[in-house]
Amino acid sequence: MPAEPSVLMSVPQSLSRSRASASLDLLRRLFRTRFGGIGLIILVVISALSAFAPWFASNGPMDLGSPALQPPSWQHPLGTDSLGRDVRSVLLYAGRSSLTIGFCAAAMAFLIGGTIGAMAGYFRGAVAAVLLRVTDLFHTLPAIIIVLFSVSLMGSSFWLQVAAVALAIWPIEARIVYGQFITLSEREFVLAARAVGLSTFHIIFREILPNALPTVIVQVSLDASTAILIEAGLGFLGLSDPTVPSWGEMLNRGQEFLELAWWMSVFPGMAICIAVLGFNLFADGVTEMFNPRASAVAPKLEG
Amino acid sequence: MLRHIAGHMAQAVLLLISVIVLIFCLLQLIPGDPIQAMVGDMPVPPALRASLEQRFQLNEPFSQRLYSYLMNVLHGDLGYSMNYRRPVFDILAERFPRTLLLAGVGYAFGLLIGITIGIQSAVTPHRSVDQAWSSLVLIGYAMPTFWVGQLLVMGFSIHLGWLPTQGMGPMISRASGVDWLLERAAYLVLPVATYTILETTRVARFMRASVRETLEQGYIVTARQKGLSRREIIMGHVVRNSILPVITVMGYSFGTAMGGAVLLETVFSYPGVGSLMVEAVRARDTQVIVGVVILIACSVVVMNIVVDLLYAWLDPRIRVSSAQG
Amino acid sequence: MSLSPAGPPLLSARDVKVHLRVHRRIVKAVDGVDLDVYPGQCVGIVGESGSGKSTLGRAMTRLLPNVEIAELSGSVRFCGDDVLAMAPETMRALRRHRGLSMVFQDPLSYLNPTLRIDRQLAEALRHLADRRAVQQKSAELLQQVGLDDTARILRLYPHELSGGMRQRVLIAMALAPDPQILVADEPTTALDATVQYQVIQTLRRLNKERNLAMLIITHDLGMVAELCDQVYVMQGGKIVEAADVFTLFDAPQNAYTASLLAAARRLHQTKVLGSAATP
Repeated sequence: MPAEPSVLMSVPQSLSRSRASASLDLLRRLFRTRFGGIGLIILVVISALSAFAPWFASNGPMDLGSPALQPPSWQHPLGTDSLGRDVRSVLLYAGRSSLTIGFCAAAMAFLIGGTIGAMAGYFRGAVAAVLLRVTDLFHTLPAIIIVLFSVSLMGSSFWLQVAAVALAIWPIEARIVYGQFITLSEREFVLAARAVGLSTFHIIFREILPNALPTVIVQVSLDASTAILIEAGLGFLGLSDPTVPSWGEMLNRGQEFLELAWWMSVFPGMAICIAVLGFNLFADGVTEMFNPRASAVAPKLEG
Repeated sequence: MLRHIAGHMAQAVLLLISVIVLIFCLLQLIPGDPIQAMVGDMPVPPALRASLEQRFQLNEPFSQRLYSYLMNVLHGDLGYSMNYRRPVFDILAERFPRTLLLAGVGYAFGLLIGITIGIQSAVTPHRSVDQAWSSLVLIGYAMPTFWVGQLLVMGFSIHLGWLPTQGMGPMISRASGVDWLLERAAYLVLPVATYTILETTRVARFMRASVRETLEQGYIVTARQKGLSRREIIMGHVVRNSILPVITVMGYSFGTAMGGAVLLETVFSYPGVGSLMVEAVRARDTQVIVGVVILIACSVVVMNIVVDLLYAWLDPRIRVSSAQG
Repeated sequence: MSLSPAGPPLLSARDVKVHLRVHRRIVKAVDGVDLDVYPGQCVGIVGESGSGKSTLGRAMTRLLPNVEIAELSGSVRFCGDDVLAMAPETMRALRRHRGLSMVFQDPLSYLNPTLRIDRQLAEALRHLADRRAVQQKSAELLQQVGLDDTARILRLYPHELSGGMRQRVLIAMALAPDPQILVADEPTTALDATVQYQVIQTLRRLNKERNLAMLIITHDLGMVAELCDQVYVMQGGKIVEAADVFTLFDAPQNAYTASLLAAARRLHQTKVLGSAATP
């Protein structure tokens, strides 16, 4: 089912209501969905833990002072790694880079893919044909392959990594935005805007985009989770920026010590899992908010 | 229908050629000495430099180089790897079947199990069953591929000692025939299991959504009023119609499975195309990297064609209407 | 066509209530309805959208869609047995042998697009012994609804048929168990005008020649006038008027019925007189 004519229409438009209470209303609706609220909480918690890492960590990420390869204990709740670092501390600091890469790569993918998708969707015809071909081209190759290829060409400093991951995910965004433009530009309110003579700029940014917003938020959220997984893979292969700790890189170190120090691999993996889950649940929640499905009922097939 | 398929094939070939051209162009953008980039991390003696320059026509104009590159690729000449001292094509020919074995079997199992779980989840009258499966699938979906592999290794190989941790077979082996297969099989169990788990979660999620949508369709009501039993409705109407959307994404998800090979083969030290890619990136062996990328692009394109054929066969709307023109 | 029915009713609903839960509110789609259909009688249920008539029909045939039901009570007696209280197994057996089938509005989505017509008809004829009997009966059923090119049609897929043909195929499927009653929910609304006429004629023929009782749910008063003997008017989940067709059209008792009729007449006038009728 297509989204309602305007995201803003689902919020009461009475003039006396302020912006703040409108957002609060959206939040309330998110928490009423099955898991959307939980997703948001997870994201907020892990972002806070990472952002305020110094408060929660006992040591800095580069502190090599502790005895190496210690199992979880009172002093080091998640154990220590092969370099003598406190796993919990590294985990928190690594969270910063992993989450940042995830988010930035998704944002970049949205910018690139969104622009291409919007152009294809608005101008149609030959422009669309060419752009869609290019999108298909990138879509054919698996994400990891694209990322590895980029890294081998460009190297793997932090921002190049972000770019490489963005390069792998933009086709999905392009498709989504293209689809949104196609469906929305046929809708009445756009035809009406055109008839009244509003400028292209206005139509794209004030009419189409706000209504594509829920879908876009969902997709960016999912892209962020994909980006985190891809980045973890890159780190695991030892090809990420060595100066910045990340969860994937922790798993790389853990690979050697699977036998001796299970905690080096289990906890970073769990962290990745939780982050990805957070983004996915949030995305599902937003989808449910704007496309309420009555399919919470078990299907009738008997009698 | 034939016209339909031919059209898709032509598109696929075009796509493949575009990929190769794109890669070629990107390679030209590498800063620095192209010879050095080709050779990798080793110093280049002058004689080698001269011969490579001649071989790759580095002093020719762009279009000429592009053309001969394309021709080379189409004839199976993918260059020479300095790192391994072998033609790239040979290395790929040796390693690809191994990856195909792993990814193929894991993918197939994952598809079957995922479809079954998806159907069960969507059709069950007990919400708790559905929620249990859905939660499991969601968690499985969030786990990184290689991490699952690591967990399985830790659990089954190290802790329980049931299965070997890595490689493709024992170092020295005199077994043959069935014994040879059994020996190998032990090494394949964990990697294949990892693939299966991952593909299952992906497919189950999608299949459940597809089945849910199918159940809303009118012909299910028609089936009910014909007095068909639950089982008959599921077998006769639900499965076939729900699988169609899943099949359309099969081509791309196979690509993802191949991508997963890169990570998984590293976890299990499995000598396939995935670990080859990683080694090549580390050694900056450009020829091999390009070779792998082209190979994977090829397999995805071929898979897409297979999927197209399958879909056209299963969906009469395409099969029959295009015959009528 | 029987105006004064004799004997017990074929289908009898008493105090049927269907309350649905939609977005945390309870919607009383059907709120205490009594209804009778006698053998060979053609009964119409009319009302606007949202009056609950479709829900009533689907409740009576036990084919409610996948929505959350807050309450489903009352009795629907079909040949003596209460359909609503039956075990699923019994209901299935009833459907296979005695048939309480329903034909819906949009024929395309009610046929499986990936199966041929003969296979879909055969599913309704599993009580027959062998393939030859099934083939023969399938052809007969198609002929009963006015589709004569049976051999060709049976081998087709649903998307290769026209809308009217599809609807008639669905009616044929509903006739497979030799039923005594057929329920139809807006059977012609999604069809073109000329095709509507064909389907209505088919239904009328079945009613007269086979003495097939019918329950027609519609907002199209014209169709009611043509086909039905008895009419029930529904509004807001309740029956507000029940009368034979002549009485209803000539002397409606209820204000709502009168307004429905008036609206239909105005529409008819506008259609007939075209641009000449300026309001």
